[in-house]
Amino acid sequence: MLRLAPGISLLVIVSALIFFGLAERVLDRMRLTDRSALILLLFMVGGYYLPEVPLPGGIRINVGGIVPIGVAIYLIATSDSSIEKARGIAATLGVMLLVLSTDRLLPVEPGFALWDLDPVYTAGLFAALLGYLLGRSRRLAFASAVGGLALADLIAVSGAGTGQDTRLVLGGAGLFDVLMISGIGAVIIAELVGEMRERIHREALLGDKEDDDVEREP
Amino acid sequence: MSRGSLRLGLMAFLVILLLPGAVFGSPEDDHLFHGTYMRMIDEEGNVLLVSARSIEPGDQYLTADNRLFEVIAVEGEVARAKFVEQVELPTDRYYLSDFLEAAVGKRREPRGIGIYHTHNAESYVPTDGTHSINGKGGIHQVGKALAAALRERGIPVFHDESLHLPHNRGAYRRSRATVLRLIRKEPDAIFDVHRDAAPPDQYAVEIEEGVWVTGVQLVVGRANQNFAVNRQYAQSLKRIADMVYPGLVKGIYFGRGNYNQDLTPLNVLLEVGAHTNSRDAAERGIGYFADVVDFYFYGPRDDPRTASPFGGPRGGIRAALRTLVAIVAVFLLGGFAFVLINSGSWDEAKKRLRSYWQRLLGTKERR
Repeated sequence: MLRLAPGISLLVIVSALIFFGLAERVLDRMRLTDRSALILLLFMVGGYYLPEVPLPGGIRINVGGIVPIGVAIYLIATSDSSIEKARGIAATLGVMLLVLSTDRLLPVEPGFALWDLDPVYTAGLFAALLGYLLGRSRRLAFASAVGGLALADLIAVSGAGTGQDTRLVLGGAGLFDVLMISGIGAVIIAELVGEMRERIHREALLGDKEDDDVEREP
Repeated sequence: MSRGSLRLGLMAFLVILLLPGAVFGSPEDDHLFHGTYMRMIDEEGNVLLVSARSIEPGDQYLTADNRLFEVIAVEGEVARAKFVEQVELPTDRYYLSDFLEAAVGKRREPRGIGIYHTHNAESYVPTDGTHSINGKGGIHQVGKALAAALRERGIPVFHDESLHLPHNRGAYRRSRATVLRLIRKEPDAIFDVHRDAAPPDQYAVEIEEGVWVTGVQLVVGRANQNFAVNRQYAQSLKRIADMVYPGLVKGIYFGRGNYNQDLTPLNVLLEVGAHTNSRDAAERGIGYFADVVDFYFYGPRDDPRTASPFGGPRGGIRAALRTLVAIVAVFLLGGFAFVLINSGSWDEAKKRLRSYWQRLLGTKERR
């Protein structure tokens, strides 16, 4: 990439750094410390240069690709209560269903309507909405985006029935894989929607002090 | 009704709504199975493009004669487009070594060209018997024809035939790993080779007297940060194609997708003919396109100093820098808007930003 003209190389590098920075901020909010978030991201970058690990059924996994999947499992497993865990699993299955349905029902090329985003971005959007709807939680949004998408692709590939070696590389694009894009996108959307909604709610509470039984957001 | 039961109800509703689609839904080449095509027409009613692809307002199309149109409305299967401008195609090339080696009269040493197929199943009805094969469709043979033509010219080729099935929009997600695998090999450019779904006349080109081939359409995605550079690149590639084989590149479609072009600005999607064309014609067409790629990336074979039509990478650099400024501006404004919403007032937002800045400079301890 550095062989390219300087302005273009700069665009590629700055875009990558901004994405790295966003990823670090998002992981930082996933019950991880600054340092562990950074180490995991560096592990993802390093994993890109390592060979893919073959799993049964034509599936492979990128060593760096384990990171978002591992974080998603960790977030659901360490949820505060069993209700929270159930919500995590429900949101993950919901995202999986949404991704499978839109993959199957919408046209092959994206863009048939104003809201029809590229498939690289849609899973994050679904997860943000479901994660927030079910649990008002950014962590849930991240976990369901990554988990739901990984499950959807595993199901899609195992049902492809080609008799040939269909290759699914989970997390194969490393830091720039759809798993990470979806997880980060989901958290950012959930965060923005959540902040705005909570702000409106707080102002409503201040404006109507009489109404004592209005529930405060967690 | 409690909140918990409301959420549960919503979830159940979602499952009932989506389960049939997730299990039984079957996407095909968009309008192909309804037997209809989308038509893009200009203000006078002239047909600019016929294809089964989805065409939406905002999409742009650069015709064979370099007129740029933008879709302003879609009514049923008709997309109305307005004329934007007559485009003067750029002469950009993007590698630093292009200029150094051309200056001393040498062809640039090829590093190779990457080829892959996001939609592996795509096939050609007259030759393959069907428009879609659940496995390696006829499009893989077209990829092989491109690879063979490039190798004949001494150019290394990385043809990745990984399958990204099933044939649906999720294939673009699954092919990202393939693009990254190709990027690791540091090729000079990457092509995602597809075929279109359109009537046969849309792609028929008489390239030399009595030699009929299918034309090639370039597709550039607007939904990624590399769009401006990618656009310059596709247009400069068309300029060389127009010079070497006029009419071979039938146009450039600027669609709403990403097409994994966010991973590198030198990744372009090629539509080589349509499902109604014969694969033989497509293989011949892509063979001519290999000449264009050879000329574009490695310069003319006779005398690179005198015969080269190329300029510098100025257009590409300008596009890249403009995008860069836009990205940084969006990032900063987005961040500020978020802090503002979060803080609730200008004063509180300023206080938080000041504190963050001090932490960044190390003049204040992080909590």
